[in-house]
Formats: sequence, C-alpha cells, structure tokens
Amino acid sequence: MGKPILEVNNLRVSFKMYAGEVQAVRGVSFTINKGEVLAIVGESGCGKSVTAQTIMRLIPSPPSYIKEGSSILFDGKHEISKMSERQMEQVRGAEMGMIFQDPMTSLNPTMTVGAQISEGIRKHQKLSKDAALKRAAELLTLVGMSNADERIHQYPHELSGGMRQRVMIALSLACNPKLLIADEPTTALDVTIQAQIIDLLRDIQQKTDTSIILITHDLGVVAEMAHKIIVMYAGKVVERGTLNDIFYNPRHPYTWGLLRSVPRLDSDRNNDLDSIPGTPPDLYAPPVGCAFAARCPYAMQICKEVDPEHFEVSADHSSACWLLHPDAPKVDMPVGVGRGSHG
Amino acid sequence: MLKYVLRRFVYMLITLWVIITATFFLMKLLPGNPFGEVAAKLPPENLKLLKAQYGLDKPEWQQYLQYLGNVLQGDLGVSYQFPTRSVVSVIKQSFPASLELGIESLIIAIIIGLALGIIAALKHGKWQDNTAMFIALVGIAVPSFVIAPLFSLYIGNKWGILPPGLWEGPEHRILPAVALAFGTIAILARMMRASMLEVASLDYIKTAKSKGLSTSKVVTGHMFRNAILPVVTILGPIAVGVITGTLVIEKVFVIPGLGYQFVSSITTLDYTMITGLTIFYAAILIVVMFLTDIAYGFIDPRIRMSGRR
Amino acid sequence: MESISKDKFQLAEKTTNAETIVRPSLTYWQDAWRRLRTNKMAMTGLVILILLSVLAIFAPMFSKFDYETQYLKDIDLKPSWAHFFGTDDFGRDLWTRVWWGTRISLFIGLVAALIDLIVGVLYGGISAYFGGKVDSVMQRIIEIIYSIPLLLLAIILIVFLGPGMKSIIIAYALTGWVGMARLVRGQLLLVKEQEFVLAARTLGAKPARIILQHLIPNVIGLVIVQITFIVPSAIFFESFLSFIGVGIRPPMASLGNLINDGAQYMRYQPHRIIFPTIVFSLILLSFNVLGDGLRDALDPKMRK
Repeated sequence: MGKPILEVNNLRVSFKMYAGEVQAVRGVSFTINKGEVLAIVGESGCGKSVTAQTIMRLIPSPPSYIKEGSSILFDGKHEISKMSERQMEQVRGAEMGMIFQDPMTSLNPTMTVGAQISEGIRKHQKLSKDAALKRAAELLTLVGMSNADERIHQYPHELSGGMRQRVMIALSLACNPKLLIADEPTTALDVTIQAQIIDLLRDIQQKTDTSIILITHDLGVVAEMAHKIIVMYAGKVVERGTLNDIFYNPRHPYTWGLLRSVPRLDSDRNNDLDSIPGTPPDLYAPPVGCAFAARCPYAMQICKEVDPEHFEVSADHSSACWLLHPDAPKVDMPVGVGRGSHG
Repeated sequence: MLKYVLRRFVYMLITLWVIITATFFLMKLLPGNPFGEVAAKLPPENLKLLKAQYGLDKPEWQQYLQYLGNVLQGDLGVSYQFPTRSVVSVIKQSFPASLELGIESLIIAIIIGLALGIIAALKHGKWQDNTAMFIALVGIAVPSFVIAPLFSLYIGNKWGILPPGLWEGPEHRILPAVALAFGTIAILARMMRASMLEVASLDYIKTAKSKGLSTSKVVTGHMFRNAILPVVTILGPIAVGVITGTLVIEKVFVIPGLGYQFVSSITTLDYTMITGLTIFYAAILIVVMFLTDIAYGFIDPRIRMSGRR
Repeated sequence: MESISKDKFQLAEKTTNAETIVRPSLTYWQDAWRRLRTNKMAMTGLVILILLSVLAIFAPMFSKFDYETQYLKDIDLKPSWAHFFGTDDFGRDLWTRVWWGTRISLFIGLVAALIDLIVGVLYGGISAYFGGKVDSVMQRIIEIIYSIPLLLLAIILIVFLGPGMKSIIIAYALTGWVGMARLVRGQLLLVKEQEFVLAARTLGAKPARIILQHLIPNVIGLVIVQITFIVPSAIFFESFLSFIGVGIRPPMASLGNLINDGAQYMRYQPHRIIFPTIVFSLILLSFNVLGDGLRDALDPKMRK
C-alpha cells in the first residue's frame, strides 16, 4: 500500500447548542493510505458521520466547530482544519468525493441527473457544457447504468433508489478524487440492492485505486471490502485494527457486543444473537472514565474513574480498554465472537 | 401534466359558478324592486314592461339560467343607481388603473420580499437577518390601510416629496404601489427565509457542496430554485391580497380605479354594481390562482411529469 | 504508565443502570413551556397581549365616559388627563372607544378562532379518520371553497345581510375554517401511518382510545399555533371591512372603524389615528411573534 492520503490526528468536533456543548467527536486519530479502504464502525450517534463530514468540512459552522489541536492532513500537504472556504472548494469534488446515506434526498429533485453530475466536472476540469455532459454519461455507464445518454436527461424521481445511489457514486467519482467518503452508502437501500452497490464500490475501488472511508454500522458491508477498521463509541475510537484483527481477535467489549449482534453463517445455531443492553451516553456531559463502562459487563472500578488510553495489541491493532492492562483480570472473549475462539 | 391542468381548470369553473350563483340568490333576497330608485317612480304598467323586458316575470329558475347566460356572455347588467351605466363599461373605464397599480406593486413586493428573505436566510442569526425580519414584522403588524394614509400624509402632504394622491404621471405611482406592496413584502420575506433555511438543511445541498461548488453557485443553482417552489404556491393568494388591497389604496390615494368604484358602490349600496364587480373580481382572482397553480406545475418536474401533487 | 492500585481492577458491582436517562424527563408541555420561556420575543408578545386584554376588559368599566355618549362641547380635544386619548368630532372619549374597539376586535378574533377550531378540527378529523372515498370527496369540496376569495364573499354577504358583528363573523366562518381543516387532516394522516398508532391498533385499542391517546396529542400543538395566527387574521379582516365601510358601524367602536375615522382627520388630529393604530399593530405583532415562538416551542423535532 502506498503513502498516507489522509492523517487525522486528535480530531475533536463540538456543536454549540443552546443547552450546552455537544462533544460529538472527542479525539479521533487514524491514517488511511493510498488504495486503502478504511471502515468506521459504530452505533448511530457515535460521531462517525460527523467525523466523515468534518473531513470535507461539510458541517456548517456555527453551530459546529473543530477544536484547537485537531489536525486533518490531506495528501501530505493540505491542512483541512485550517483551510478557508475558498480553498476547500478546490479540494471538494476534485480531490475528495462524498456519497451520502439516502439517495432519495441527496440528489436535487429539480435538476436532471446529467446536470448534477456535470456541475462538478465543469467547475474543476473547465470542460464545456457538452463535454461535461458526455463525461457524465460515461460515468453513468461506468457505474453500471444502461442507456446513459438518455439517463442524463432524467430527474432523480424517475429513478429507483439503487439507480439514484449509482448516480450519487458517479457524481462523487466525477473528477477522479483521491479519497472517497461513503457515509452509510447502503443503509437506505433494499438488501438485494445493497449487495450490488457494495460490489460496485469494491469494483471501482480496485479499478481506480481510490482510497475509501466507509462509514457504516453494518459489519457485513465492512467484511466485504474494508482493509482497516476503526470502531467508534461516544465520539472516540475504542479499537482499531485490520479486518482480521477486528473480526478474529477483537479486544474491546464493545467490539464483542457489535460482533455478537451480527448473524453469521458459520456460528452455532444455538447461539443467540445478542444486543448490547443500554444506550450510549449523553454527549452533552460525557462521563468521566470509559464511556462504555455503564453498559460494559466487565466494568471495573478504574473504568469509571479514568478513561483508558489505547493499549497496543500489535503494530496495527490497539484497543482502549482497561482489560488489556497487565493488572486486569483475564477475561475470555464471549462465545461466538472471534472465529479463533471456536478452536 | 395535462390531467393536472384539466383538473385545475374544472375547479376554476366550479368556483366561478358558485360565486355567480351566490350573487344571484343574494340579489333575490333583496326587498323592493330590482331597478333601483329611479324605476320606483315609474307607473306600474311601465314597470311591468320593464320587468318583462328583463325577463323578471318568468319563474326564478328561468331567470337564473338567463342570468347565468348573460354573465357568461360578459353582460353584468347595469348600475342600480345610474341605469345608463353598464357594469362592463365601468370596468373598461377603471380597470386599467387598478391593473397597473396591482402589477407594479406585485413586482416591487416580489423583488424586495425575495431579496430580504434570501439575505435573512444566508445571514441567519446575524444583524442582516434581524433587520430583515424586523421589517417583515412591521409589514405584517401595520396593515395597508394604516401605511397608506401615513404615506399620503407625511411623504405626500407634510414633506411634499411625492404627490399625496391622484393618478397622473409616474410620480403618482410610487407611493400607492409601495404602500400596497408593504404587507406582501413581509409575507414573501418570511416565507422565502423559512424556505431557504429548510432547503439549506437538506442533503442535496451537502451534495452540491461536496462537488466543490462555491457558496454563490450552491445558493443560485440549488437552493434558490427549490426554495422558491413553496413560495410560488402562495403567489395566487398573494395576488388575491394585492388585488383586494387596491380597494383600500385607491380609496386613500383617490385613484380612479376599479377598487375605488367598488368601494363607492358599497357606500351608495349600488347592488347590481356590487354583484357585477364581485363576479368580475372573483373571475380575475380565480384565473390568477389557476395560472399560479399551472406555473407551479411547470417549475416542479415532479408535478410536470406525473400530474400529481 | 503511571501505577494504578491493583484493587481498582476488581470487577465492579453494577451500580448504575445504563437505561437511566441522565437528564430529568419533562412532559411535552413542560418542555414546550421551558422552551417558550427562553424566547424573549414570544414572551414579550404574550405579556403585551395579556396587558391589552386586561385594559380592554377593565378600562371601559372604570372610565367616566361610555363609548357612545356625545359631548358636543368637548369635540376634537387633544389627549389630556381628562381624556387620555383625546376626543373625536362628536366629543366621545377616545380612551373608552379605543378599549371598546379592542374588546370588539379581540372578541371577533376569538369567536372566529373558536368556529375555525370546531369546524376545522371536525372536518379535518372526519376526513382523515375515514379516509378513502369520504376523504377524497371532502377534499374536493375544500379545494373549491379554498379558491373562493374570502374577502369578496364577505363583502357581498355583508352588503346584503346588513353590516354588523354577526355578518362579519358569519362571513369569516363560511370559508375561514378551510386552512385549519387542511392542517388537521394532513397532520392526522401523518400520525395515523406511524408505527405507534399501528401498534396500538394491533394491540386492540379502541378507536376512542386511539383518538384520545395518540391522535389528539399529536395535533394539538399545531392547532394551537394555527389559532394564534387565526385570531389576528380575523381582527385584520374586520378592520379591513370597516375601512371600506362594511364593518362595525358607529356608534359602536372597533379598531377598524376607529382607524378609518382617524385616517380622515389625521392631518389636524393625529391622535385620532395614532392610538387605535398602536393598539391594533401591537395586537397583530404580539400574536405573530407568539405564534412563531409557539411553533418553535411545540415542534417535537426541536426537542433536545
């Protein structure tokens, strides 16, 4: 894999609401290299979408703001968190593309599909209207739509959800970006369509060697295409590792919970699917200590007092959990988690 | 789209028919004779002749059909007070001034109202927003019949900047048109602001931004067209408001328009004139509503294609 | 790494229940009220409205004058300690007349709102509850009524029925309820399709219970907001009619005919238009800011 395309360091994002400050992202760090697919996994409200949209600076400020000390270094030279709106315009669309969750609402209902795709092309590549439209049609063919020459004159409401998501992907790829951010790209789609879209994304990723940040709560999607995974909880990264690390050797109780809540073909039929009891904490007032402690079946006294740092498991794998402290009691992974435990 | 237009058209016809029928039966409720005070002095046999001439000796349902037929042919009858003047001649004579006033005022209102709304939304929460919304609140709280006399008195009489009344040169147009536009500016500004803010929070605006479009491109290319949609739906009622507003404005500024005629016919209880002008006004308002509905259909591709709303 | 005492690593007893909600739970209305209270504009509007209502009720009672007796030796007086707002060209005390007018205007606004409320909620409710054919016929009727110009209808009705409060209220009631009916129907249809109503129905809840427990609470906020906009529009309606000569007739006072009179004399007696205009504008302004505030406060999407 190539050199780092995006290095996020200690990213903290807060929203100023009238009831107080919501700390949506509380110190997130990760790196993604060229050609890599990084998945950010977590429950809704864990800050994964905010992280993604902050990378493209798409969240209006106010009410959101990036706190002092955060760094988002793109392509080794652009410090996103310090860039002006005008500088960002040159990056968005050209160097980074974004795919949103709901294709029903993420396309402009009063503009033809072709016009929406060609807009970015005309801005960044200075093509004429006709040339840009031609390119839009090529892109639609690339994402697997037939009759692209007719499709470009259609409006979003004439297309199905899966088609619209293909349009969205074409739109985000329009200027061959180095980084693609896909924010829950399959959540709003039917299951059969989900698989098609994931195949398409993987296919495009392999063809173009684009780096992809994949935001999702669907571990099935992650297993399909991610190289690296970070697990987020309450605005923090609780575990990071390669696909194998997270699926076969997870170390954080929250990751265990996530994995246990996914049905698996190879798992024992007698094993129940478990949900994680409780709800995530209120980010108006994040708890002292580990945010997961209140829901964690293994919580210790220390967990409620001090927030754990990351403990390294291996070079690529770390987990923010006191259970990894040498003094902590040995806890076995629950049954059904980590294929290694099946023996 | 055709189905949509047709449906709107049928509604328009029904509404017109309801109004015409209502006026007919209200006329029938009136005591006394239908030819007014002049005819009251006529000898009984002449009155009988006159009644026969207008078909008033026939059963009511025949009268109703005849009335309906007359109205459809554009015959709205003669004035109750001045039998020599037909309602249609009054309309021909005084409607142009009202129409001009209405259109000028509507243009002023749309330009200023939309501009205020857009500025307020783009500068949401800043002083520009507060100022624009303050102007809008004043426009809502101080109605045209207060603004108009104040304009006439201060700008017209006391400071002498513009003529306080009458309808002659272009300088006579400004005060009435602005006074009439005031309330509409307020409504449009508030609506446009709300609509812009709503659209700004939608996903496809984020999509547009994620393409790297500049803020001005996002505003003009994506927000404006979508934000104006709900505003177009109220253009019908707004035009209605402006047209009824001319009644007050023409009275205050002594403009020889249809509104002035209408208000005087109310004061003199010129029944046939009132019903005739009401039907005319109703027809205009209903046509305006119809046209704005159609216009809405054209702007929104979702309706243009499916004919549904 | 700093050293941590080993006993901190004992598995802890579960002390806190993760399900406990950290913030105190407020009912819908407590929450709405809390939010409304922080809205300075809306609260100012509310206070002004209360103040104006108190004045409208009590000022005429405690005034030495009534609204109709003419004192021909006291005509056209400027405001003074005897006549706070001066007198008119018949020597009638304007302080008393303005507050009488406020009373009449508020009364018309409230009655109009009440009629709208009853007719609109019933019509919209029936339309949404039965749905299907009933709904589509009722909707067609609404679309036709909606396109009848209210003011014109009112003018001819009043011309033929004779001016007065009754005619104005009838004229308003004939078409005014349409907006409310549309609103109630729209909201009900939305709520009806939501899971919790479906769930209640599956669990065998009786229709009456569904209506009381689920439908009404979800519509009531919108209805209240709508009422705060109906009252001023009815007041405006009366004043407009008074201004073109078909409203409340003198000697009875209404804000509309006071402003109309005032406009004719304003060159020499500005006090005659200023006072009724201020009261009138304050009423409209207050209702509007209060309505805006209520809308924000009652919108469940805003709940944080």
